Amino acid sequence: MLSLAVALALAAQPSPEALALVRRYDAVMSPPFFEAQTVMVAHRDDGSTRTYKMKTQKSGKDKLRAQFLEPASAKGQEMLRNGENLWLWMPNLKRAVRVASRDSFMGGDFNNADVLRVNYEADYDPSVDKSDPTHDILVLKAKTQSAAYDSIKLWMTRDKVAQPVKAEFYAASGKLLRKAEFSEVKDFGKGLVRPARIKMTNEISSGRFSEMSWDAITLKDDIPAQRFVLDDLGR
Amino acid sequence: MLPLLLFLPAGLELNGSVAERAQATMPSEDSIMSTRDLPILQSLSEVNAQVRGSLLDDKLRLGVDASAFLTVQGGYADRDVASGELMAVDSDDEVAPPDPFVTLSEWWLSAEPIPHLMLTVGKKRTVWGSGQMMSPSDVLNPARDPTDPALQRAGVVQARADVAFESWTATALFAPYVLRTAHGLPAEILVDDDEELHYAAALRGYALLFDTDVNLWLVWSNRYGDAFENHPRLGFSLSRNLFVEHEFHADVLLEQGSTRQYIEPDCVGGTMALFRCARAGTAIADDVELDSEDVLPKILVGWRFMPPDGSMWTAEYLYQADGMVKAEYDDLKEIVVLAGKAQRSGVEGMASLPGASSSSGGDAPVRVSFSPQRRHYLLLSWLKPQVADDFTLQASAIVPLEDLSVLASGAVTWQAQEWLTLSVFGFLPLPSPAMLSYRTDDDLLGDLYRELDPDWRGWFPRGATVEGGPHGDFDGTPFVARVMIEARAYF
Repeated sequence: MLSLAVALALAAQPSPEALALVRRYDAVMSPPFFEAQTVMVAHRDDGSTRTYKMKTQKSGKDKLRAQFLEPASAKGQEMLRNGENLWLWMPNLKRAVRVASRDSFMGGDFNNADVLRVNYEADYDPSVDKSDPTHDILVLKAKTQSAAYDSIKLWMTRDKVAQPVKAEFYAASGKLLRKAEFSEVKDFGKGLVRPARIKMTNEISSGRFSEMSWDAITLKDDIPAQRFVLDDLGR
Repeated sequence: MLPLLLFLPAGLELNGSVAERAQATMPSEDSIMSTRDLPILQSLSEVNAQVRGSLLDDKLRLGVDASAFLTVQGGYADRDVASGELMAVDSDDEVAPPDPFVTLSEWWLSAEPIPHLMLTVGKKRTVWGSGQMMSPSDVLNPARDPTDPALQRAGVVQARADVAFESWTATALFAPYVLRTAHGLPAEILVDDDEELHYAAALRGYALLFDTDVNLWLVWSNRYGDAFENHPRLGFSLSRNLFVEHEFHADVLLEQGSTRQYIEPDCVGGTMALFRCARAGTAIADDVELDSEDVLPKILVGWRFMPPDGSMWTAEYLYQADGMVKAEYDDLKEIVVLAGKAQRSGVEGMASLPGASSSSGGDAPVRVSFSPQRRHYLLLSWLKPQVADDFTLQASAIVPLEDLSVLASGAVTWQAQEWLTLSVFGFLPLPSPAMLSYRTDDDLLGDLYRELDPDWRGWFPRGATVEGGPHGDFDGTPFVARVMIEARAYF
């Protein structure tokens, strides 16, 4: 009986290759300490767009702060993630309110977790699918209820500096919710080479997609912890 | 704004908005108080500027939130005493037009002399409670308009120190009370003409414990906008997400006594009783619980549901231990009805009675004033953004549970451009079921109430009994309906 339990536990462990690949994705797309200038353009059904500019700061695995710079109607809004918790600080309320990780990020096709909670190793159990002749398919299965998706398929280049190429995001029902395309691999300095653009297509509503692009990412050794506390928002 | 932009030091950023709001109010002939000072048409223009940023290589941070308002209004009507019908107010009785004014909702400087220590001086909104539509523990900030959660910017003058770490913060705050302002700036502060001090001081601890926001604070106040002297209060709030899409919160204030004004029973019973009170020098309303040693808590518990469609449903229940029971509320309503009659007969100075004011004061104009007098309230709100991409729908309701009258409000906001929003707001007081029934020939609910055992009548949602009829919180409000159209351009 004990040996069966051990065997099952070992079988549930991700393979070293899958673990290395998911860690590679997290390291590339969400390094531990950085400041970035990001632009999100939401393309809607009628062909019109909405553009949001923001400054993001990340500290460690689970702290991230986004400050909106444009448009004027959103300027001053801030979002904070600390572990499982997400808050939105509104200038008109002068206070932060808790928001859900699966809510749409500023009405675009990314959700809050896509932007503020990129820590796939913590949220998903990884495995590798080798069926694609040119790419490794990282298959991620949610291990916490608060993960943004039930499962994710992530295509990574099959080389020493693996980069994400595309992704599919699924609901628990197996329904495809979103598709992402990663492009414009760029050297941001200090050894950080990664895609500078993600196009996220909403598969529920045809004709809608959003693009997130990173103008600059500055790797940091540290960012003060007090930048990631509620009382610092709006200050 | 252009001169401001030109002289703004590097590191500071200016943004803001220009708004025009047109408002139409339909006065109610059933209003308890006179509506002669309630404009039927009103135009409110606002220029808002917010400056934020850092100076001295990020050693100093600054925030300013200023608005200039210009109001143009006209058209007044009131119930005619003789005919009982709504009549236009004579030109001889015109109400003085309001002046343009400036409000500084916030102006503050903040520094971090050593890591983790943040010092802030100036006027800033400080929110520790977790209530969405109301926060009973908020004894520092100006009262907020529960139907307008998006416009709660005004803060209080304070000096504050925060020691902030990743999952906990300790705060010490001193807030001198602003006794008089001039052009939005404090003109008289802390000490009044009688050398009396007016202030609040607070110690607060915040912790993120098991993914729950926990706030606990002690406020010591002396004549800080109310009659309490050397008075301690304990505030407590919680907020936590559960099951991904749900948020639960609690917002509690514990204090001994109350500043609520209760009607002196000897003054109730008609104009003769009032006259006797006036002759004896007895105050009609008094804060009789001011020195009480009883702990009279105010408790708000709430739930928010955030489904994946982006909508947000909020339900909050408010309990006020110092809220009026039926007999006290009967007295209040009777006096307010008498005051309304006196107002219409030309007697001034009646609007200062509790619950009698028909319009709001405060720094910035609010859409609807609300001062809960009873013990139990239900506050509901719903918000759905991104309808057809650019529309946001909003609805809210305030329901006094002791009479089930309702103040309902709704809004449609269209983000026409990234820099422009167009909104329509509506406000509708709905009479209590007991009042609706009373207006029918049968009055089924009235019969039901009278047949009840007197011990059980307290559970019947009837409100006050005035001149033989039921009267709920939102029965007899000054308006039948109010509609606003607002255009706001951001820069």
